[in-house]
Amino acid sequence: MYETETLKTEKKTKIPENLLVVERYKRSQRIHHWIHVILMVFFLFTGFELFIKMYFVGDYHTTRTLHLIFSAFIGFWDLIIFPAIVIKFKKYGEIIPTPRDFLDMFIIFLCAIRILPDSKYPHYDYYNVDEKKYVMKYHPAQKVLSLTNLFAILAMGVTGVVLSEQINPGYVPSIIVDIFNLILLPLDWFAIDIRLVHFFVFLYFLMTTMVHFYFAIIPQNRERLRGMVTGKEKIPLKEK
Amino acid sequence: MKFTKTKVIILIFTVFLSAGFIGTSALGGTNSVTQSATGFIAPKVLTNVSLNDGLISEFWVNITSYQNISEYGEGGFVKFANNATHLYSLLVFPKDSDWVSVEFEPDPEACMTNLNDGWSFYTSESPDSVEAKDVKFIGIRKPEDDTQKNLAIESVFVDNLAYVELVRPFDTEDADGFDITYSNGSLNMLQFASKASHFGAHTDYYLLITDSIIGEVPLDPIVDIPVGANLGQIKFLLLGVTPAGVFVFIIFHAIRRVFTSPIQHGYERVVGNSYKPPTFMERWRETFTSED
Repeated sequence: MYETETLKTEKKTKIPENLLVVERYKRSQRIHHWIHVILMVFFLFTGFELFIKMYFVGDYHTTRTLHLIFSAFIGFWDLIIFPAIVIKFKKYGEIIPTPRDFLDMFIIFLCAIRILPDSKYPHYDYYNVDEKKYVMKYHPAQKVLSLTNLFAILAMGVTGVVLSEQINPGYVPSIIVDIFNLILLPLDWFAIDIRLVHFFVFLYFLMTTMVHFYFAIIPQNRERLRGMVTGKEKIPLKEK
Repeated sequence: MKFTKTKVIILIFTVFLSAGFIGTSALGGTNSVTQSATGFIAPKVLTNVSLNDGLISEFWVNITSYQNISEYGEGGFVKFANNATHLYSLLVFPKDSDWVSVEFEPDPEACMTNLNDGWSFYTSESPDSVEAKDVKFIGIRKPEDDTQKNLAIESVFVDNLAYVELVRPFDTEDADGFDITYSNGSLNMLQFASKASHFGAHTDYYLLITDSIIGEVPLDPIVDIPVGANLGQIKFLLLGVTPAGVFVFIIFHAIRRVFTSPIQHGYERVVGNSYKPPTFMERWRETFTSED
């Protein structure tokens, strides 16, 4: 038997009576996610302030220092802690995209523009009641983003450190700066401005954050969002 | 109706954020960007100064100068003038200076530590030449060249002095270069420096733009100031276009998937051991080959 919860009075809605309550996110995952959110909000905001040259707290120097502090935390949080959590709980299968995920994204797009009927929509998260765990868990786009985010943060860090050292050298060990400069050497070959790359990565985060936030609050994902807050998700049982 | 309250909240949220981003984009455009049809700023064309006649224009005689600028060494001085759209300057310094510079709006407590607008002039004596750089300061080191170059100069050498005539538009539209925008009545602090005076004290000077017109300025030849792709403009454009694109997607998705025909994920999500995630080929077959 598995745990169920019966809603007592639901007069105006069509929410099914029986819901299966399962653990969607472990505490460590939720703590990681929300600290990431807080850091990212301040990181993007201070970066935006530097871009438009309007400083809401302190002056340029204060804002820049805050931006660097948040970037250091994010680098540590997402490039070290996040992989550590994935490895500890053996979640690679859940977040590493497969060729089928790309096919699913394509099918989802075809359904959205009505080329395929909604009956073909590839559902992407399933809970195995026998083993009490998810067999598939994330939207394919989420899986792709979980990887591209890591590369984006890496790109943000490398370009950010180089830019920072150009303005105020000496904060980062020279060997690291040299390595980063080496990584960015191809940009020189094509005369691409490092600050422009930094800006494009900012746009990437702005875009994906907006989309992620939108999908988090739509009604169909309400329970998934609840899972990120409480850890639990209520899945409607199949009607007989 | 399902989820009515949530749908209304999403709709209000979407509309307000859309308005906010469009507003932000418009604000950026008003202050920093003037777009041409192609999205790039057309090169500036000056029609009222002579910069390649090998002479220092006589009108400088009547222009008040910043006399005896010790930072530039013996014989150094600077003059500024303007018409309605451009700033003109005559900078004089020893031709063996190696480099001299001007920093606009410096931090009074620590020069060269901010992303301040500036000009740098690098001298060479064999043969005599001056290379002018439109720069931004990036700390106590060689300033960084602006991607968009907005200075046009002519240099003349008399005895041991280099005379540099310079013209720069009031509004360079170069947000990425942190260029100051001048206008009638604007007042900006500036400091001068050279290799010899680099680590010494720098006097604060002030440049007041008044609505005066320079007279007796030769009308030709036409001078084109070289202008590269304006990164500042491109960035502001992208900063407006990108969120707008995302909102178009969100609105499309909300109409299609939240309001009209939402996907119901729930009822088939609980499975048993018998369920195996489909492979690529299985998904392909079940989607594109089976009967609906």
